[in-house]
This record gives sequence, C-alpha cells and structure tokens, in this order.
Amino acid sequence: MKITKRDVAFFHLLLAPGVLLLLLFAYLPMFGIVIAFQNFNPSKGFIHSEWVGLEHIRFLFELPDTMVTIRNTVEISLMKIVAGLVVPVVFALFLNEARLMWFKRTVQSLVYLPHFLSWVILGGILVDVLSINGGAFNQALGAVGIPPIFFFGDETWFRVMIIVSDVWKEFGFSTIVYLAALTGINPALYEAAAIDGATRWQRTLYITIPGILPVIVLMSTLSLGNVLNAGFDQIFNLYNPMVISSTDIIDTYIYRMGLIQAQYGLSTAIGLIKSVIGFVLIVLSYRLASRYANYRIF
Amino acid sequence: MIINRTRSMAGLLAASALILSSACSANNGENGASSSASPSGSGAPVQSSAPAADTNPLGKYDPPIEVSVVGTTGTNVLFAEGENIDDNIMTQKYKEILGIQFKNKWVSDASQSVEKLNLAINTNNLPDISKVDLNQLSRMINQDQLADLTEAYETYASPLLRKALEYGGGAGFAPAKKDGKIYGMPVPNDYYENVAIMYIRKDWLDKLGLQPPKTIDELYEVATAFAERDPDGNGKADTYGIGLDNALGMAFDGVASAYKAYRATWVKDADGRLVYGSVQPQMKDALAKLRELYASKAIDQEFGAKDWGKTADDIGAGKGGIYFGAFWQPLYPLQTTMTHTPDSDWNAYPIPAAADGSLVPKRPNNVFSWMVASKSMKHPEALIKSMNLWAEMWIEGGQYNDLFYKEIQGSEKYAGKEVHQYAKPYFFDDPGKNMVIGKQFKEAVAKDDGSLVTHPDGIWKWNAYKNKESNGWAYYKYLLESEGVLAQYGESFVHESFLGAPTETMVKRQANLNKLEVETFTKIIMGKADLAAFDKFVSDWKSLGGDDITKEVNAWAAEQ
Repeated sequence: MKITKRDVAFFHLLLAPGVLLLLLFAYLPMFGIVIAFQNFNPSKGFIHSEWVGLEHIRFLFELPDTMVTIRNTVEISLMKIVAGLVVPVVFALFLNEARLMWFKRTVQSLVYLPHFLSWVILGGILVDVLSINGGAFNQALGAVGIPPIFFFGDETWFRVMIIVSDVWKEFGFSTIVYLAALTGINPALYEAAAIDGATRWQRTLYITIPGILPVIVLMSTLSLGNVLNAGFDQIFNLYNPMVISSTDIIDTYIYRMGLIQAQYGLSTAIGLIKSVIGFVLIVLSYRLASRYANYRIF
Repeated sequence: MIINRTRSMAGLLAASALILSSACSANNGENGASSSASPSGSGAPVQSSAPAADTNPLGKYDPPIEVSVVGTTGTNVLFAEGENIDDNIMTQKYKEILGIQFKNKWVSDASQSVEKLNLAINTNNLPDISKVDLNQLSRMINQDQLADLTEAYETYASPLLRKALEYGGGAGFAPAKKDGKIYGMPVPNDYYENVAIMYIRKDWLDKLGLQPPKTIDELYEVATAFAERDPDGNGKADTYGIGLDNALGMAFDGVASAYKAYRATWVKDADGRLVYGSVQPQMKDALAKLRELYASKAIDQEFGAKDWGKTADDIGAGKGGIYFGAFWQPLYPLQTTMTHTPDSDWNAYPIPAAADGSLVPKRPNNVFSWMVASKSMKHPEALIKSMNLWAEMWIEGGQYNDLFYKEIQGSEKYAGKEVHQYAKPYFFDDPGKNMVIGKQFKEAVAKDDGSLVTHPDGIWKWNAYKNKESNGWAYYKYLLESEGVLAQYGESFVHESFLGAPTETMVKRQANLNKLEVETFTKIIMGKADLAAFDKFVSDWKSLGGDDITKEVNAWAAEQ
C-alpha cells in the first residue's frame, strides 16, 4: 500500500494529542527547574524569587543524608535489576518446557497477578506475614527449629526482603516478555537438533538461550536507565526508623524534603541531580542496546 | 511518615477531635424536626439588619458575603438526609445568623489535606480561610500571603472566643505573630491533649495478683510480668507489657519523665536558658531504662516496625497491657479491646514517678493548627465572626448552646452525625471543657446524682454512660478516670518552652536531626547500638545544626 501525503498528515494528527500531553506535562514543567537555584516564594513567582545560584546543591552535599541515599538507591536498584533479570529468564525457560498448555497458562497468569497489587496493601500483608510475633513465616521457621528473623528491624534482612518481594511482585511481567521471545524461535532448529541427537539441555544451551539473548541484553541495558529508581512505593510503605539509614532512597528523601517539609528548592535540586544522572545512564544504555542488541529508535 | 512527628500528631488530633463527640446518640428526643427553628435560648442580641461595619461580634452581613474554605471528608464525616458538604445545617445557620455563605474551594480527603494545601500555598491559589499547620503558617507569613488579623481580633472577638484562644496564657498566638501583628487564629485543642496517662489492663493486674505501678521500678516488674506470665491465659508467649510506637510517642515520654528527660521538647535549664530535651544527660538514663525494659521483653519487641495505628491495633487485639496515651484514648484504642475480650478492663493511672517520688510529665502545646485569612480576602473579620458563632454554639455559656446541643445535635435528624465536624470555618475546641465535665462526673458518681452534670457537652455523655450506649464506657473512663489523673498532676508540668515559628536552621535541618534522633534512640532501646551511641548522637546533633538552632531559640526567648 502506498502512503500518500494525506495519510501522513492524518498520522501526524493522530500523534498530536500525545505530543501535546507530553509538552504540557513533561516539557513545560521543566521550567520549574529554576526553583533549584532559587529561594522560591510563590507570592513572588518564578521571576522575582530570590536567586541563590548553586547554594541548594552545595547544601545538599553538606547534608550527611544525601550521599547515603544516593548510595542506597544505586545498591538497591542494582540488586533488583540483577535479580529481576535472572529470575524471569530462568522461570521462562522452565515454563517453556512445560508440555501442558493449561498448566503453562495458569502459572503464567498466577505469577503475573501480584503485579496488580498496590504496595500499600502488600506492605500491610508483609508486616503481618513476616512478624516475629505470630507471623506465618517465622512460625514456619520455628517449626523446623530456626530462630525467628526480624525482617523489619535488621538492615541486612530488610534489604533481602525488599529485593525478594520486589522480584516476586514484578517477575511475572518480564516472564511474559521472555516467553514471547521464546515462541519466536524457529521450531525447525529444535527439530534439526533433535535429529542430530542433541539432548534437551544441549538444545536449551545452544538454541534457546542464544535465541533470546538479544531480548535479555535489551531488557538489561534498558533497565540501566532505572538505576536511580529504587522503588518509591515499596520502600515508602515498608521502611521504618530502624532500617532507614540503609534503605532511605533518593525518592523517599525527596518526598520528605519536598512534600512534607516544603523545602522546594532543595528537593528540586536533588531531583535535578537525579535527572541528570538518569539522563546520562539512559543515553549510555541506548548506546549499549544499539551496539549489542541492535535496538534502535532513531 | 516516620519523621514528621508534628504531622502525625496533628492527624492523630484530628482523629481525636472527630472521635470525641462521636455517636451522640439520640439522648433527648425532644424537638424532632426543627432544622429551621430560629435560635431559641437566651435573648440573643442579634441585630440582623446591622451594617457590615458594625463591631458586634455576631453582626450580620447584609447583603450576605461569600467566603471560601476547604472541605474535608473522612470516614466519619456524615451528613443528614438531603445535606452534603456544601450545604448543610451548619452552612445554613451561619448564613442565617451571620450572613456568611461558606463555599468549598475544594474538597479533599483528610489524609491528603496537608499536601493539597501545600500545593495551594505554593501556587498562591488560596481559599479565603484555610486551616494550616505550623510550617505552613510560618511560610505563609514570610511569603506575605496572609491578612493581618490584629485589628479584626481586637474589634470583633467575643469574650467566649477570647477565653478559648487565650486559655492557659494563649501560647498559641506566639508563632502566628510577626512584628507585633497577628496573622493566624490558634485552633485550640484540649489543654491537656498530649499529656501522657498510663492505662493498664486491670483484668491482667488482678489475674496476676499485681498492684498498679507507682514508680519506674514497679513499672518494670508489672511490664515484665505481663510479658512472661501469660496474662491472657492462652498458653502462648504472645503478650507484652508496654506498647511503644516507632515515632517514640507517649510511652517513651511516660518512662522518660521519671528521669526528668523530655524528648523533642525545648526546656529551661537551671540558668533559665532554653535547651533541647533530647540531648540532655538525663536522656541517657531514660534510654538505659527503656533498653532494659526492651531486653526483658517488657516492651513490644517489634515496636520499631509499628507506627501509631499499628500499635493501637495491637492494644485493641489484647497484645499489650500497658498503654501510655492521652486522656481521650479510652475511646480509641482502649475501647476496642472489649470487642476482642469482652471482660477486659482498662484503668487510668498517673505515669510512674521518679526515684525521689516527684512526678513532672511533659505538656506539649495544645495548638497545632491555625486559621488564616488570605491577603486577598475582603472581609478578614468574617473569620473572627464565624469563630465567635462557633464559640457561642459549642462552649458552655454561649447564647447558641441550646441551638447546637438541643435543636441540632439532640434531634433525631442529626443524632450520630457528628455535626460539630462541619463547624465553620473549621472546628476548634474549648481547652478547659473536659476538665470541667470531669469534675462534674466525679461529683455525680460520688453522690449518684446525674443532675450534677450540667455542661451541655457532658449531659449527653453522662446519659450515654448511664444508658450503656455505645462509647458510654469510654466517656466514663476518660471523663472520670483520665481527667482525674490530670487533676492529680495539678500544675506540675514541663511545658514546651519554645513557642515561636520554626527558626531558619530548623527549617533546613530539623528533619535530618529528627531522623538521626529517632534512629539512634530506637537502636539504643533495641540493643542494636551501645548506650555510648547516645554521646555520639549528642555531639553529632550539635555539629549538624543543633548548636545553631539552640542559639536561634534563645534569641527568640530573649525577645519575649
């Protein structure tokens, strides 16, 4: 079918609402970044508020919490990214071997289900289930003679819990992506390999994994852009003073600073730092993706 | 969530105010449908045709004026048939008596009101009258967004309103003042709103054959016994003594007071200088005792993971036997224990005394929010006039007492609807009310004569108690026992001594310092850090801004 000039115009028209929303909600607010360099006073507005230059950024690095939260953010999200990569790949490989269609479908839906639950609800459930005072998990541990673990009071266990629960909640989604990639592998390859006498394990190793490797590389490089997003919803609903120094992340920090204390200049400054680093990472991950997975937008 | 104590407190107080007069069940059946009746009681000097410039505290605007406010909804904001948040018996009465038509500029859920208002402040898109917290107030004053209310207050405030706002010295005005001008009207709560009282499961004490503790050592014994000796008799070690929450609330204060240690409070030292309670040497002793209590399992082993609400749930579920709380807390959570364990009982006692027998609890200020008028408001005095009207309805001796308590709250139509919640512009309490009613209850019980309860807000609560209606138990407990404990404290309190607006360094650093404080204290109590961590905390606190704040606070004190 030939695309006429009229078609092109029509397609652009279809694009317009999306572009408009993007301009309105993503680009226009960027002017608000000036707040990071001001003592913002709403009754004076953006133009007339007192200009303080890099004062907020200087002050941020003077605050002991800033570096701690940045380090926590990177550590937690890297762990989440790695675990969030390995688990769904392995799971998809296993599920792909399942022969019963209804079983495969059911499992696929079941693991996808937690994705739809809010952390507000899951947070409450986790506190109850993992309680040392009658929580189901620790009772089970007790039954086999293991002393109870205080997940919400121990910095190491808390992180483990954060990562495991995040993977549990979200891996169903990635699993679907990998399952889709698996169906894209040409069955003729498997048949040929079977005729040549390849075992199941060999087929997985030499056909399946290379087959989905581009998708794995793509997913992992794209997740690089999220290194500074360690999961506000989850951590905000679960953290407490005992574990805050090892789990306070940039987003919870901004929330407290900006929305609770109303220090807009300061919180905009840290948001800006986050955006700058995030931007660099996204560019980097795009470069990597285009080099190793042949993924291109432009 | 964790750090901002004032905010959670404010929420808590809002909750308490909501609960306080809840379930005002039909106690006097007279006057069934009378929403349109004019104010009956006392020859009211209402000059309905007076011009707007009249200095009469209740002078009517003619033609009526429109005033915008913020509407707040919550699970227990209920409306009578045919009424809603924009148009109800209260908005009607205010229009009828004062000629003020209240409009909701927006309506938000109670849990979001702070953030929503922050947004409005930041975009300078304010309603005529808003209710703000301390941080918002001081920001709005500094950003020149508020109307000067000095003259309006002087001219229009009725004696009844003044009595409520200036109760106990009127400390609530201090943060609302700048250069001698008043920019906000304090919203008083009960004068003893945040004073700790020790509630103990009486049935547990009896079961284990223990006496209510009077000193800190006796508290230690009772609390450990509650954890060790299975007071609920279910054969499992699933109970604890003291319910502490992770904001280190009243249970912390209840124990620390015995060491004259007052957390998160500015107190006067021996030389009359203001010093921060959390970094005083006594605090180390208090922490040592709390640490000991925790180690012996007398304190909830998981308190660090539990906020106020979760701790309250535990108490309701019968897990803890000692609860430090405010006077009104028999309403919540103590009352909920009975739903789980019908034969449970809580008694109120004074917090434990110091080793020398002295007892000096801390009394935080009873004002946490202010009503302010935006600079663009045409009639800022309408704020004062509406507050006048609410005072006349709500506070004993007001000319509209009968209208509110009998015709409205006492009628079938509004029974149990918590009509006081839609007081305009916003609800405020009479700080001395509960003490008065408490004394009347005491007399009435002693002489077995209910007619001795004469306060309009006490009568129906007495009836609820006598008729065993819902909340009757709680009214009895808090008005008789809790108020009794407060009366026992007498005048001996450590008051919050810094009443000003947050200082410059506080705005910048306080949140970080608070976080450091709660984190360090929690770890010390739980044995995750040595007691020596306290010394490091003190020096960190000083170098991270505490010294500057102390200087600013004392500079403020010098100006007073």
